[in-house]
Amino acid sequence: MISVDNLDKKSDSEIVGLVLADQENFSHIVKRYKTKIFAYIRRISNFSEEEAEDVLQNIFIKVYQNINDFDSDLKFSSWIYRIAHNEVIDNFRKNKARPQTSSFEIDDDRIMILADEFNIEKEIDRGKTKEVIGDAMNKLDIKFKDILVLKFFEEKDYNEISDIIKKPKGTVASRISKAKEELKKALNEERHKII
Amino acid sequence: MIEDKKFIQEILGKIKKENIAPKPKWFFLLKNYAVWSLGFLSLIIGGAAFSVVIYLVRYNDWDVYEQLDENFVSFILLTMPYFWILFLALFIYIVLYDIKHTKKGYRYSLPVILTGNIAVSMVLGVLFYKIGVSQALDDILGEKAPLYSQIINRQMDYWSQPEDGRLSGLVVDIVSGEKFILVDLSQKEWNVNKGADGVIVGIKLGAPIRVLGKKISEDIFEADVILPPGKPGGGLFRRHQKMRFPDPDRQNMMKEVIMSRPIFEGEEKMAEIIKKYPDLQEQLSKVRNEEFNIGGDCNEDIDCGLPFDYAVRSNCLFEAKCFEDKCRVACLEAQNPAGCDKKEDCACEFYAMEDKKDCDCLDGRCGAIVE
Repeated sequence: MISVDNLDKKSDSEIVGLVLADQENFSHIVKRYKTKIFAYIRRISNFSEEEAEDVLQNIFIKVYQNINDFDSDLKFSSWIYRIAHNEVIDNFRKNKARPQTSSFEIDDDRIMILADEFNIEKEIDRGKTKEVIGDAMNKLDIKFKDILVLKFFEEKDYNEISDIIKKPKGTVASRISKAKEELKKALNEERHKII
Repeated sequence: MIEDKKFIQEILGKIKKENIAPKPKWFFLLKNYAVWSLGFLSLIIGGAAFSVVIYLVRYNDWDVYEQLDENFVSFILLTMPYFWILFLALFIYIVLYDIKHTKKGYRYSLPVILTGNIAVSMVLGVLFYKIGVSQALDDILGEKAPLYSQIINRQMDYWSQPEDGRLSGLVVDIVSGEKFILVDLSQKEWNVNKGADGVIVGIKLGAPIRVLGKKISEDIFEADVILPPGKPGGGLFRRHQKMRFPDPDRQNMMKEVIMSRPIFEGEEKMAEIIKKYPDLQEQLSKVRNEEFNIGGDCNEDIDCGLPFDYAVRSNCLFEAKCFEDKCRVACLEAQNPAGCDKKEDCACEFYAMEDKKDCDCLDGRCGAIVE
C-alpha cells in the first residue's frame, strides 16, 4: 500500500490504477468520497442515518466491483456519483412508502445561495429560511430534488450532471428549469404557512 | 456519521470476507461489444425490413388498381405492408434502446438518435432493395413462413377474395380455350370460365395466375381479366406448386432416368440406372420387355411397339419392325418408300450423318436398325 502523503497528490484515475494493483488502496477512494457521497444520499433521499450508511457501503462495494468499468474519459467523481445516484434511486423505489424520517441538510453557505436564487429572505425571517427550503425540497419528486441537489449543493456543471444521471445536456437543462419551477411552487406554499 | 477509519475497515473487511473482486475488464469489454453488435444487427434487420416495405409498395399493382372495384384509399389500406412497417418500427426501437445503453449513448438526445437511426435504416433499405435482399426475403418467407398471406404479405390475401372478384392460384388443367381449372391458395379447386367480355390468354399449365372477375357459385368463377402473378409472393406460389406436385426428388429421379435413356442405350446403361435406382427395375423391365417388346420375339410388325422416346424424335421416321423374328426399332427412309433391292440403292450418308449407323436395304426399304 502506498503512503497517504503520496496518494493525496495523485488524481482519482491514478488511484484507480493503484486499487487494481492492491485492494488496500481502495481505502483512499473511500476516504476521499465518503463524506460527499453520504451528504448526497441524505439530501436526495429520506433515509435515516443508519440506512444511508448501509446504502453508502453498498455504493462503495459496487464501485470496487465495477472499477474496471471506469472510463477515463469521464471524471471519476461523475462516475462514483452515477453509481450513488442509481443506488439511491433503486433503494428509494423499493422503499417509496416509507415515512419521512430526516430533515433536509443544508449548510449556511448553500442557504444564502438558494435564498438569493429564489428571493426567499425578502419576505421571511432569515432564521426560518433553512426550514422553508428544507421542507420545500422534501416535497419535490426525487428526480427534481436530485437534479437541484447536484446543481446547487454538489455544484456540478451540466456536463457532470449529464454524466451522472445519464441524460443529454438538453434534458439536464430543461429538468433543472422544471425543478426550479416546482421548487418555487413548493416554497410559496411553505411561505404561506409561515407568513 | 460513522468515522472514516471504522467505515473503511468495514468495507475492506466485507471485501475480504466475501471474497469480492473487481469484475474483469474483459467482462465489460464483452458487454460493450455485445451491445454494439446487437445494435448493428438490429440496424441491418431494420434496413432489411425497410427494403421489403419498398419492394411491396413498389409492386403493389398500382397499374392494375384502376381495374379493381376499389377506391384508392381502401386499396392502400388493404394492401399496405403493415407487418414490415411494424417490424421496422420494432427494430428502430431496439436500436434506440441499444444506443441509449452504450457507454456514451445517453449524451445524444432522442430526436438526434431517432433521426440518425431512421436515416441509416432508409439508406440500408434502399441498398438492400437494389441488391435484391428484399425479393430474396419475400421469396424465402413465401415458401416457408406460416400465415404469409394473412400477415406478412397482405397483397396475397387481397388477391384471394373470390367474393370480391379476385382470385389467384395455380392452373392445374386447361379444359379448353374458354375454361380452365385453378387451385387457389387454400387448395380449393375452381372451374374458371371465360366471362362475356373476358379473354383467356397467357395461361400455362402449372403456372400461377391472378383472375379478375365474378364468383358465380361455390366452385365456379367467371374471368374478365387474366393477370400474371405479382412479383412479391413468388415463394408462396412455389410452395403451392410443391404441394400440388409433391416429391421433387422422385421427379428429379425420373427426369434423370428419362434423360439417360437406359432403355435405348443398351444393357450397360440399364444396369447402371437399376443399380442407382433399384426401385425402378421392375418398371424399366416392363417398359423395355413388355410394353414395347423391343428385342423380343415377334411374328409381324404389330407385335412390336415404338417406344415413346423414338416416336417424338423428328430426325428420322422411326418404326417398330419385326425383323428376323425380333422386335427392332428402325429408322426408315421416308424419301424412297418405293423400296430397294440392295444397300447401294439407299442414300446411306443420311444415316451416317444422323445416327452414325450403317444402313441397309431392310425388307425392301432403305433404313437402319437403331435398337
